[in-house]
Amino acid sequence: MTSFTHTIADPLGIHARPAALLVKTASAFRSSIILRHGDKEISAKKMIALMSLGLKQGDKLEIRIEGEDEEQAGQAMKKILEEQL
Amino acid sequence: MRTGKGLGIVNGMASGKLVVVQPRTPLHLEAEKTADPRHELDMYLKAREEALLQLRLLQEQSTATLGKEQAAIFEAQAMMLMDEDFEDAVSSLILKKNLSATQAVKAGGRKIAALFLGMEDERMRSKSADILDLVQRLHSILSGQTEIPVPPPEAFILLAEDLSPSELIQWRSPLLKGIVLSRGSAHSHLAILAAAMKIPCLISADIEPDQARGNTRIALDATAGFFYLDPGVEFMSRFNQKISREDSNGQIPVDLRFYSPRGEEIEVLANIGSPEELDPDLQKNCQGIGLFRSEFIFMGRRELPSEEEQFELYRRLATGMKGKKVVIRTLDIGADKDAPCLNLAKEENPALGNRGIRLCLQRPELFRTQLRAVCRAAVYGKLMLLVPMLISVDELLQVKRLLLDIQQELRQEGLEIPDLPLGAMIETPASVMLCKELAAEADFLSIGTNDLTQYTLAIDRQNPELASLYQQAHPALLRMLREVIRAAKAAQIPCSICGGLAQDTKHTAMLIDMGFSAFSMAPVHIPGFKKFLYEHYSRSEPSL
Repeated sequence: MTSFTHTIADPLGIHARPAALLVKTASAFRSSIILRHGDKEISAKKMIALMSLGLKQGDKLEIRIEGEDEEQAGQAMKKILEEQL
Repeated sequence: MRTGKGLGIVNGMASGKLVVVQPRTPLHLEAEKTADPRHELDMYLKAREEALLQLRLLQEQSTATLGKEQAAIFEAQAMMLMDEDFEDAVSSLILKKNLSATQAVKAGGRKIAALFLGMEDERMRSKSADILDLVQRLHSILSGQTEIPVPPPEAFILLAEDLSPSELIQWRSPLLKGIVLSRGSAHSHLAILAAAMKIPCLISADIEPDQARGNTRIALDATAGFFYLDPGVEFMSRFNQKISREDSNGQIPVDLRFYSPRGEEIEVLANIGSPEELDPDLQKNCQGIGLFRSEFIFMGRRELPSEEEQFELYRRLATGMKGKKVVIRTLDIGADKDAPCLNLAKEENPALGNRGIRLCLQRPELFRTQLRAVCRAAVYGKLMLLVPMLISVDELLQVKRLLLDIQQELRQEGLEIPDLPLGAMIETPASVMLCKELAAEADFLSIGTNDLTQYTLAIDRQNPELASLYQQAHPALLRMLREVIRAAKAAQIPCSICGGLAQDTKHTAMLIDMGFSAFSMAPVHIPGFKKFLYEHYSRSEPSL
């Protein structure tokens, strides 16, 4: 299992373009990719659940990845979060 | 005639035939059960395929005409459509409660929309509109209605309670001139699309769409926040004259110069954020670039731009303006901007944080690279350097020393380096209080009224709830402007004004009376501004 945290830097919080990118990226991997914010945990492969986290600038997100391609998945998720959110 | 009010979210004026878009079928639940849930499930899945195709098409169309950011709205909708949670909600209603596909889509969609409606943030609440838009799309497909609206063959303005992005795209036509919504939100996807399509848009309008009659005429002034239903012929013709004055700059020769009653030439300058905005028309239509925001080159990337890359960019600006001046504002960025290459720490309060000149002085290597690039490019045109976010004379002196040092270094490398005028940006209350001292050290001053208003009135300019209090022509601001222009005149250096106040022709005459003669604004405002000068100021060199 690999895990890391990310703080949302985008002043608009999570909006259409980065959210779509994030879900697309997560869906490309076999591993389970779980995002935790506060007491809510959701799969990063689900758009509606991701939107329902209501992420705003400054919110902390914990990312937990488990599965055969977890290493590549971790790198890809890190990249997308840092560059887009 | 009936006059109404609203909140303009995309400025502009328009007139035309009123087209009332009736609110979509209310999503009430009838007990429509089915005896064949398998068949209904199949219907739902087929309708979903069709909806996906439609969204892909909308995405393609809007990528081509509006750009990727806008098109992503439809991509995100497609992902919601295909989302497992949505599918589970709908299919369990069909299979377990024996609901028809249509009823299950309505009920399931409403459940998911409720998830967003309960949120605190208005941006988040507006996401529910995306879900309802999907429900409507699925519903139309399932019920075999392919409601494609037929726009009238003349200029028209839409009136609705609210519009979804896909409804707007359906109504899209060169004849669509304006949008009036009785509800609406400044943060909705519709607002983004309307702005991208440059369609004047008024929200929170005091009118009930279902009480308005279609087939009447409407005049819309979104800039002022008013609309006029059923205006008389005379009113309409005056209004249309005003519109054609607003959008045609044709009769004004581009090289016409305007003069204040004191005989000073009035300079019209452009604010731009990237060299792509610099086209030959703009080059002719303004007397220079009053503000080039250099931060765009740092944004959205992980590697810092090299000196060569920056040099190339500044050289393009200098040559592109063909000898007219170009004021380059040094990097003005803070933790609120997306610039991974700068590795900025997240801040509680970025507007008051490590930004602008503070950041540059803390990272001399970053700043040196930019200054070297500007110094080298200065030989290709008339470049000037402007320092943002100053709060002390010492900061300006530090930049001055650094600049001299770099110029000397470059000359030792054998390069021809012309002098580079160094300006102080007046945008903090501290810099206003110190304007005499700053004017004594700077080669020119430039007042940034957007930030100066925010910092003086202690109002976050992005807070929509305080928008009515955020007044750039506040008496406190006007008194500050008077102090600054006096200091500049006493020191015999030029002083320009940029920001919202510069382009607002309601205040131009007052500013010119105060002594200002250089106004820098977004290119889109230049034609209207010149029109104002054309109507009110002398156009030939007065005999003094």
